Amino acid sequence: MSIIEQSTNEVSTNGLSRRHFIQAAAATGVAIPFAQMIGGSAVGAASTTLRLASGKQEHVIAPWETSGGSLFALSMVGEWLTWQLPSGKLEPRIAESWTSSADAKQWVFKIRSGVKFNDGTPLTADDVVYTFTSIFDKTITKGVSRSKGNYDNILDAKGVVKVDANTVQFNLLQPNGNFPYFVSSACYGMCIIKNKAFGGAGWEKTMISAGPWKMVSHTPTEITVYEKNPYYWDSSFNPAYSKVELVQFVSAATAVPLLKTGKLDYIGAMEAADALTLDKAKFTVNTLPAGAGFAHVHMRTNFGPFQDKRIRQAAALTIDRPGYVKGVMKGIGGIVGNDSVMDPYVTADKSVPQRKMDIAKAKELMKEAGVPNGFKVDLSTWARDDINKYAKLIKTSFAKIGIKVNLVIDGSDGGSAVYYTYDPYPSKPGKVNQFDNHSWLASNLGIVDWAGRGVPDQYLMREWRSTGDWSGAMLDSRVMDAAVDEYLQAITPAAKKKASKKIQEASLDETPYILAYTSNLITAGRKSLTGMVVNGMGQYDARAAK
Amino acid sequence: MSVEKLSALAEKSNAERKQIRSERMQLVLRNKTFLVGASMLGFWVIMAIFGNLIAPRGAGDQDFEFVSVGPSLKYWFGTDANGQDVLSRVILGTRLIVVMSFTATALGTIAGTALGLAAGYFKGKFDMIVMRLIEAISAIPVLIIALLAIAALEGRSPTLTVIVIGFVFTPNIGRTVRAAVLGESELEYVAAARLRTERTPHILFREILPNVLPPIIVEFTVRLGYAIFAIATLSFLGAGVEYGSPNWGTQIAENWGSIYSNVWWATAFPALAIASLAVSVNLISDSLLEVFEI
Repeated sequence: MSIIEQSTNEVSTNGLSRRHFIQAAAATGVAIPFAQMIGGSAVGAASTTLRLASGKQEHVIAPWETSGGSLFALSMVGEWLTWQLPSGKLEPRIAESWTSSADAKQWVFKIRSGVKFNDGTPLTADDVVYTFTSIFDKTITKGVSRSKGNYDNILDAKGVVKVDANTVQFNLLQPNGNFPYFVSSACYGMCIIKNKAFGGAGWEKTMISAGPWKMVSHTPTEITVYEKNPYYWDSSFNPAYSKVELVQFVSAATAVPLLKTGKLDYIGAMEAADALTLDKAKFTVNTLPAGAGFAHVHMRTNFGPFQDKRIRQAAALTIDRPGYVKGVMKGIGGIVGNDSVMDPYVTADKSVPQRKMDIAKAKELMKEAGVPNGFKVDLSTWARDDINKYAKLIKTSFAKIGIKVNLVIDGSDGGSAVYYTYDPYPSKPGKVNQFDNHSWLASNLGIVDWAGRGVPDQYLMREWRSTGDWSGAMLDSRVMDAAVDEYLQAITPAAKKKASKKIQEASLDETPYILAYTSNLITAGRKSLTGMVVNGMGQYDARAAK
Repeated sequence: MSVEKLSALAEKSNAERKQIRSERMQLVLRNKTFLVGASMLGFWVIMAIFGNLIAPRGAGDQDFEFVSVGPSLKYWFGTDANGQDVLSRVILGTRLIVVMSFTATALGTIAGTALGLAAGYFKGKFDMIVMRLIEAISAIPVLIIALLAIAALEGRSPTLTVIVIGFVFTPNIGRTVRAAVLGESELEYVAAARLRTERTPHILFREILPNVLPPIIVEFTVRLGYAIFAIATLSFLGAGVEYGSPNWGTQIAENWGSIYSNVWWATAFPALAIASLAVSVNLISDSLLEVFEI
């Protein structure tokens, strides 16, 4: 195994997160029609239809626009060069194999022979090149692609080169030992689409990609029905189910009764409290280890009341992290003490001190910052079971040092149509309105959920670096940028660990985000169902379901 | 008829009316339904005023050792999924709903009474225009108007909710008052006041208003019950007050999902609180209807 392969595989031990569902007042109205809509089956009875619960789609289910709950549906029909496994490691999919240059600047991917799209058209290197170049061209995407930010400072359109019909080379702008993750399902919008296809709104009408399932019908925000893709590249794929139904729920809690009554077969992400109510004789509950997927609390660094880092540090010191994980999360979660995204990964430096609740010190910092009596601030986020609880934790914790938090929780359109607006996008400093409009990229204080990636590169590039396009805090720190760049370009585990330490220390110092815990993916299914797999992104792999 | 004769008749009529009012008050105070309703309402008013002193814990206090724990000696109403004491939050949530519902109803009653008095007294085109406007507003469900207003004004605050509900109640109260005033305005004491060249505001508010108070009071209590439900519903839908505040409707919105995990107490107690407050007001309303024979 080359040093780069080692580096690629030394990912998080898990890399998990949830994309689970929101709690909202309208949930009963959603759940009841579903209960009527989907037919029943006795618990444990075999069925030719596999019924899976999914989060509510946030946007249209299309590669260039997918986000949030829509990535569940996309994961059924899409196929990527590589697939992130629950362990956080990668599995070859359309790419049969890959190699890199010694400096990790050139990566060559061999495309599997005989791969076809689900309409029977052969998939070639041209399709792969188009998938990775089109996102850079606004004339093609009409500006709707959200995937370009994955590749800032890493790759541009010129760097994607067809070598031959089955080989594509990526010439990177800077070395990156984790690049196979950049072409994986962790970049969920980068499933391979047909050459010249439009990957924005409208794509969902056909859903042409090369995944194991083919869309039969799709009712936005309600249900998507799939059947086996007859052209799937893996000829051994012989599903036990003739149909798969993916039913969207506003709240995982509302899906639980349907699971209990046999009207659903599987829930891919749920709250611990709900899972604990399931009868172990009838249902299988799996808890994957805590990973990198978690809710990030951003404190805006370039405008608003959190500009002084002492205030941000004080805020971070108010939270009883172990208490929250033990009590509210029923102990199913990881405690993060240094507010860094590096914590769950094996390259994290464990010698970096962990933050503990210290109200006296927090008050002292507030006094030093000139706000001994605190201030009022809105916390903006969107309604989801776990985020609601986290928002309340922030409110009660900040109150201890006089910060009066007013919760502004977006419950629109099943959750996040307002909060996750891309209106102020990109969020680069100087290019965004300098006021709080309660959206994720223009708010003084907010909570953003991030799916679990096998490596931290995307968090670092899009959220922590000053050039990041998904940076709620808009941190502009030379120290952090240098540490991030060092990590991204590091090839050996030792070099990554060294860079990670710098990131962790800079995170403690600047505290642009509060990352109090890592969440676990909790899945539940009927006892007789086997073979269902969910990865850290919350993407389903139902190929082996029986 | 001379002015003197009319005045004498009016004085006699006024004296009779005062006696009737006094007798009715006695009847109200002896009415068991009223006493039960008033006792229940009094309980909640005490909670609203002294809640901070009565509640065993703060509204935001979290006890991570006791999360989603059922009713016990330590936590009488149990704790919710955030480790917060349900009893304390129910007690501390009283003030907001009581103050909001009373204020909204008072606002609607004052505005509706003024409108109804004017429409019933002036009659003619003014009455016709006011009534058509009232009918138009009344045709739209309260919650729809409230949600539209809150969405349009992009605001979510107790003050805005109170104003919106007060506005929505105004037409109904106005219509009731107008109907009562139409009958009163033909009576002798009003004619006497006109003959005495009293000013219109005096006739409306000093002469007619005291004589149409019974239907206004009954309408107030009926609307108060509606206001409690409207505020609780708006809060449940996330349109009334801030998420996370110890408001009964908000508490139900936050915790109803836990019912599926058998955590019923975090939803049941705020719901019971809403029900008992609304029932108390309805009992008072029923007893007044009975006594006033409206």
